Amino acid sequence: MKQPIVLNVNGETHELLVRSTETLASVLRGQLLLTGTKEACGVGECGACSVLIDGRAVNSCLLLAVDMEGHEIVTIEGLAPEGELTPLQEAFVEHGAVHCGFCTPGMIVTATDYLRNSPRHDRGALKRAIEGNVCRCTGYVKIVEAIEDAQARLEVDRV
Amino acid sequence: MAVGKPVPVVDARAKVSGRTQYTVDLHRPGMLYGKILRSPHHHARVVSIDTSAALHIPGVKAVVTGFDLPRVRYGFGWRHRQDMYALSWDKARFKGDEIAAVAAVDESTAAEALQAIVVEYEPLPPVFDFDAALAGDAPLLHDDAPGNIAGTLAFSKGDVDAAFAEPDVVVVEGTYETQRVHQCYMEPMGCLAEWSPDGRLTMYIGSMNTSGIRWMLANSLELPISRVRVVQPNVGGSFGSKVTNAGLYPATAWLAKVTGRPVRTVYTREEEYFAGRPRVNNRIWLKTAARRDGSLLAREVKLLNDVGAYVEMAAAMLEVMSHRSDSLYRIPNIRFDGRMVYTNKSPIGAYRGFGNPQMTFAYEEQLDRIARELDMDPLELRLKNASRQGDVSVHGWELKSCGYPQALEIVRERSGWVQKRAERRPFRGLGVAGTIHEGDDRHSTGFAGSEATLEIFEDGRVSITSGEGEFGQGAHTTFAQIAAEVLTVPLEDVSVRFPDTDISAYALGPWGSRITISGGNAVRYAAEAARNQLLEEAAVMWDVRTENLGIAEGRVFVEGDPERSSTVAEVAKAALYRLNGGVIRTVGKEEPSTSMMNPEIQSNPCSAYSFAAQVAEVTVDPDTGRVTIEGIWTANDCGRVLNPLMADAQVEASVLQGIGFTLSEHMEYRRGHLREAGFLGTGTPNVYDMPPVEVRYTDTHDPYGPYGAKGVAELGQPPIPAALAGAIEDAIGVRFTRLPITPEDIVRALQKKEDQA
Repeated sequence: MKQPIVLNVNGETHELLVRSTETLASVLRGQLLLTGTKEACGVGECGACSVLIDGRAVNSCLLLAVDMEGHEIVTIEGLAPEGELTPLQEAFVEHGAVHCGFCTPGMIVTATDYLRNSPRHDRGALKRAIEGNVCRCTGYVKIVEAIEDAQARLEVDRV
Repeated sequence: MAVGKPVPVVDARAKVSGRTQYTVDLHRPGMLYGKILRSPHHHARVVSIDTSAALHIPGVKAVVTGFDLPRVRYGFGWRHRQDMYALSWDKARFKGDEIAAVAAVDESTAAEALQAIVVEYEPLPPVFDFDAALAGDAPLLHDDAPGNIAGTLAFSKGDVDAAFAEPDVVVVEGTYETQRVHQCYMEPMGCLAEWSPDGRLTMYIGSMNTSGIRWMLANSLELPISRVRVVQPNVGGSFGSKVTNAGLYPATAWLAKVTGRPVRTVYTREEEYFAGRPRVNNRIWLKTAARRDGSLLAREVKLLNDVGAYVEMAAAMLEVMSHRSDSLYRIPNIRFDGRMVYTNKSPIGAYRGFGNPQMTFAYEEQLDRIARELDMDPLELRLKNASRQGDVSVHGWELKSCGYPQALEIVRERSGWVQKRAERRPFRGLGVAGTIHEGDDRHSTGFAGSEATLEIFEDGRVSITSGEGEFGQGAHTTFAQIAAEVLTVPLEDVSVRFPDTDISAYALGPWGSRITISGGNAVRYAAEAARNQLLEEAAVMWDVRTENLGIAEGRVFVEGDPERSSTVAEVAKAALYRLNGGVIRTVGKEEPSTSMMNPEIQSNPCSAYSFAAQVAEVTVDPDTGRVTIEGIWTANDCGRVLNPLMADAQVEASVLQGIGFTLSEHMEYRRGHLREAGFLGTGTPNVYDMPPVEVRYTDTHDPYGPYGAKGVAELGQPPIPAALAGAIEDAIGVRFTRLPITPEDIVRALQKKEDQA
């Protein structure tokens, strides 16, 4: 049986019919066609499906869509207006932290949470933040550099 | 200058904003979702399949089995054994073998339908490893493969017996075993199939081999090749694996045919482990002889490759494993005996290095042992024997450029090799290893080159069409850089189309580190032809001779006449609108003057050969067995580096994959059962597993590759297992000859050592 739910995604309200067993990742990708959120394992081991729920990064493959009513959901598509990039996204481009790009949205969503919640630079905390995000193309070096660079830029902005 | 600059991949902005569409993201109106029913048995005869209950489930639109599809056997190209059916109908040969496929209105309905298919199996005795498969009374996987031998390769060069019998030589011997690992590309295998009203099949496949997959699809579905179109969307990683034609492609095509609707099938991560095409596990027996001065004299190899249930591309891998490493050092006498063994496990496929990491693991260990017996520095021993530019190796490989000696010198200096070895510290050790890799390896006597088309639009923008795929490694960026360099236009004015067999020329695809060399040269030739055409058009425009024209910064001009100068766009537009003019559109075709690898004769299969040397430094905790990698120093001879930013990432990622292969990654089978089928359980490295890695390059310039470049993609991984095993040995005095080397292995080995002392 499907049931009606209302989801707030990227600032827009969506009335949807979903099965009670359907994950948020599946609804975002299959119904809302927000395919920037990737699904690479489906069991919370790779972080590719990370989205922000009330500002915190969570694996959307582990959440049931029916539980997400009343929460603010932001996907990779909602981080910056069309045609614009956040400083973190810019840093990923400039540092060559993007190759095949399949882990990239989840990595950026996770790092966005990290940057918002860890104002000072701390490589240990950074690694802890992205340890659940698998990337197979880059060896993580350029991803860490990009996040640190974005953090430095944001610190300058704050000053 | 676009070539040599550290530029990010050309589609990075789309990728960071989540707007890049991969195969798994494709949607079509009325699209159905496909799923595959897999055998729960390792080996079983299929007695009957009853699909009626599944077909009665609301929302299920079709169920197909091997009895519905054409029952033709196919394989990985015409040169290889044809031993697969699109869906197995006679028997299941591994747990995960494809038996049936369903199409339904959504994924959960499709999953429900799988449960409702009733298959009657007659279980047969399985074989899981070399010894069981090769036993005299072993059950056979394929009736036409006696002894479960899927193929053999044996040859001898020089006089191996005489060399081993020489007086006063050092001879070392050993057996090495490696494990299966998955490539762990992030985007699972998937496809979308749709038929047009005129009966043509279009397949969207996240592959790296559109032409080859078209051939395999046409064969398995008994369609004329012209009725099949394969389109490649963005691909979320491959590392070699996505060259093959998994059963899901023909099965999905058939579902789309019988339903008359588009069907998309995507593997789950679990299916990737059960039915993907992981790295081959092997047993390598190796014997090496050296003279007292350290010069290598002879090598003998006996190799067993566990190819699983179907041979797929394993025959090509056996060829590569039989030859490649012999050309890294000067060694005159070689004997090889390799066999591919069928077992009731999933088939294997390509993974970065194509057998090279496994062979290097064995070969380089023996160099360390020879060095110890001769009391030589192991890096010195390698330098002494290293192949050099101009060498023709034992197999006839022509090393027109070779930076291997320089690479060894770079890592010696950068790692502090000499000083660190002098001041020994407990439980800390250093290891060194090197590798040679192919660049554009010829695997057929037919066309083995590449073709690219280039068009300059009237707004000056450039479009490149090539059948050589981009799967995240940066091929499109390299192609765009080369065209921008030749035409002197900004990089952002160049775009590269994804392969589409209806539009792009036949292509072999990006295996064998061939894209920069072969695909890149084709793009360069096309761009050079377009540049000439621009000059000819400008000559018409201004009524001057082309010799008096130049091109720079996107402008064509008359030398010494600053008044007469036009942008590329203006010339392209003038060409299009003049009488008898036309579009600036060119073809670049590259065909290497290589010869196919043939064990009987001397051959030179590659356009160029790349090299790398690596030093690893580790600390081993004797109580926990934990290995901490203090540093990896890597020096790569990939010719001229066209894009340092991309090259660094390629090397860093390869190094990390090598670390995973050495220390943690393992598709572990217990009595044939795969114990774990996910990223975590199989030891996939995360950010914590990346040690400090220094990436350097030699200053080699290859005479054939575009702008002196060679392939870089497969250099980082092969030396790592040997370098790490050497460093661990240097730290604790125990050499491991089986991968992976786990903390448990180390603790046990140290205990054993203590007990013996």
